[in-house]
Amino acid sequence: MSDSSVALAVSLEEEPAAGSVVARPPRRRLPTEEAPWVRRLLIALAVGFLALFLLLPLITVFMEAFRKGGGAFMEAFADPAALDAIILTLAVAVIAVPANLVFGIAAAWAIAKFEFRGKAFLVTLIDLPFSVSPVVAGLVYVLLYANHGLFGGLLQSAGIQIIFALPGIVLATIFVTFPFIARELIPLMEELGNTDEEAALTLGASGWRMFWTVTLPNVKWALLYGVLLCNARAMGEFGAVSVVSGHIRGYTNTMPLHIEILYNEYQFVAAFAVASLLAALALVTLGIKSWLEHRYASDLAAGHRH
Amino acid sequence: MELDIRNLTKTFGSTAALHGVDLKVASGELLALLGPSGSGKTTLLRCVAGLEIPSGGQILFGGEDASLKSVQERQIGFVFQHYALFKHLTIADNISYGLRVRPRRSRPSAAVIRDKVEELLSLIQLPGYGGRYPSQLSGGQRQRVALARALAVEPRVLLLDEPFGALDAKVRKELRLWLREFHDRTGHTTLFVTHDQEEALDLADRVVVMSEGRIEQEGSPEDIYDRPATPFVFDFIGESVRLDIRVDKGRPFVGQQEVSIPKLPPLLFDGPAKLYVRPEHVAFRRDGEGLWATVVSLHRSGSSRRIGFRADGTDVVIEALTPADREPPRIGDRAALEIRAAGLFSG
Repeated sequence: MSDSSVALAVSLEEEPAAGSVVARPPRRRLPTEEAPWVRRLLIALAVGFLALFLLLPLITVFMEAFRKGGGAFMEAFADPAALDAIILTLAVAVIAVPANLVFGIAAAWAIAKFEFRGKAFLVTLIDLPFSVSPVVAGLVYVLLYANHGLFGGLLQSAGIQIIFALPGIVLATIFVTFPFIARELIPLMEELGNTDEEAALTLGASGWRMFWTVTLPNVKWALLYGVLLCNARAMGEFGAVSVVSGHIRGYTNTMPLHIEILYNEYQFVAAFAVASLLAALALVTLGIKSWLEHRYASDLAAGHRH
Repeated sequence: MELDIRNLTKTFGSTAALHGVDLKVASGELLALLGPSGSGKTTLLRCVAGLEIPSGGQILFGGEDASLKSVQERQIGFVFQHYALFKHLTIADNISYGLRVRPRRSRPSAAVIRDKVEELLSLIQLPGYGGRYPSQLSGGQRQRVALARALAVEPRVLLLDEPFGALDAKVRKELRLWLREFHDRTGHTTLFVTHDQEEALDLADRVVVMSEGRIEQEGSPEDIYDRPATPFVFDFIGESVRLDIRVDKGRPFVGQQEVSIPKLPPLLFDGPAKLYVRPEHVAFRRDGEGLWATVVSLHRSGSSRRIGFRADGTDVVIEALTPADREPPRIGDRAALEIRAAGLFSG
């Protein structure tokens, strides 16, 4: 294989020499191109880093999960606490993601379509969950809604339990995942402007009708992209949920919390088995995300990427 | 459907976009709103459409006050500069959109809608294009689809906002001719906004020239071009040079020489004035009566040649246009200018 390619290269080299004397122009680099060794070094550095810090841990999760065979792996899910954790995680996502879908569309609509005072502040506020530690978010909810908290007395007298219960976990998750959908929609909606909506109105469509037939189809791929990221984060959130949940096994334990408990109890196979489920979710999310980006690149917002 | 716009004002924050505009549009008329950007022409159009809420005044559709009606109630057809076709819908679905969004009671049946779409597609000379998507069409084709979509709802008035603005020069001219023909066949009352004077003068029955939120002049394209009523219209429409002159005892003087200008109304003032002259209205001879001047510049532009003359004893330069195949004078030659038409305004 390598011999024949060398022979081919040689014969090609010889050809110009048979005719006139052609001086091969020296290969020159573009001004923006690095030297080959710099390129190789940069690529090696990036690949090495990714392999060491991202790929290797991911493989380890699956290896640890299956270390004692498929039977031990399945056993982890036979534990009713694990099942409860999975169901709770799904329930939280089922509530938090649609809530953020509605809030995200509303916020993006307000920011992209209207001019009002305090708009810049609202945009900054939407980004707050990105910049604040999730633990802080959890603590704030405890401060507000726990029995000794600001609204604690009021809620207690009404018989509503928020902290150490499902509502608290949902609230903390909504807080942490709020920016994903809004952030995806705002640049796209700003770029699209109002003209399509105006066209629909002049054709007699009601505002509601216009939203469903024009606005939503225009942003649907960006919206799906945002929902996907929002869902992945909602299912994987640890910090904020950990503070408000109270770790009541079989009641307020989500998958990430359940994994931590198993790990602390030295049940490594079970911990990694549940972790592998979360990791698989991440891989599926990544796959769909890449497919969306590849397929609908032009329909997704140009400016902003996570 | 005739339109009657009465004392319409519109302010955005503290800036006024329209200062009390009065305009009547006859039924079946094709009217151009012409002006530079910021003249208020698009604001006026959007107020008629109901996409902008006027700050004052009235808009009457066929004698009935529509000022307080919503966009949907006004039953207008609006065509946008960048087409605003719904890119996720086929051409047929775009055209039928206005029919399909009607409440069930007044919605035509699927068969009627299908026939209507076919009829409109052949009207805009795109039969068989119903199944395609907007991205598969050229700019000119898209704008025709946008027009068909606007017409599908049988609007009372058709409003076009810079309809050819996004197209290249050749397509723009073709589509302009096509629209004129189309209007002659269908006879919709049509208002269209443009900043391109050639387009307005070529296409419209009547042209309304706007500047800074006011109507400067309205009239037939010939009126506007041949008899500009204000210095602004003289400046904006066609080509002209502005000369600083003086009126003495009702007679215009350029420097020390009196100029005779035919068809000028009697001058009822004395003092400084501005004379607007179009190059094609200036003729020159080597001898005889006229405004004596010296050739100071020569430019060839396409099929014609423009010659600059400086009037004796002044800094005033007047340009004349002659066919390029005529033997040009040389710089420094002297000639007598005859001004065949001009506009004169005091100040």
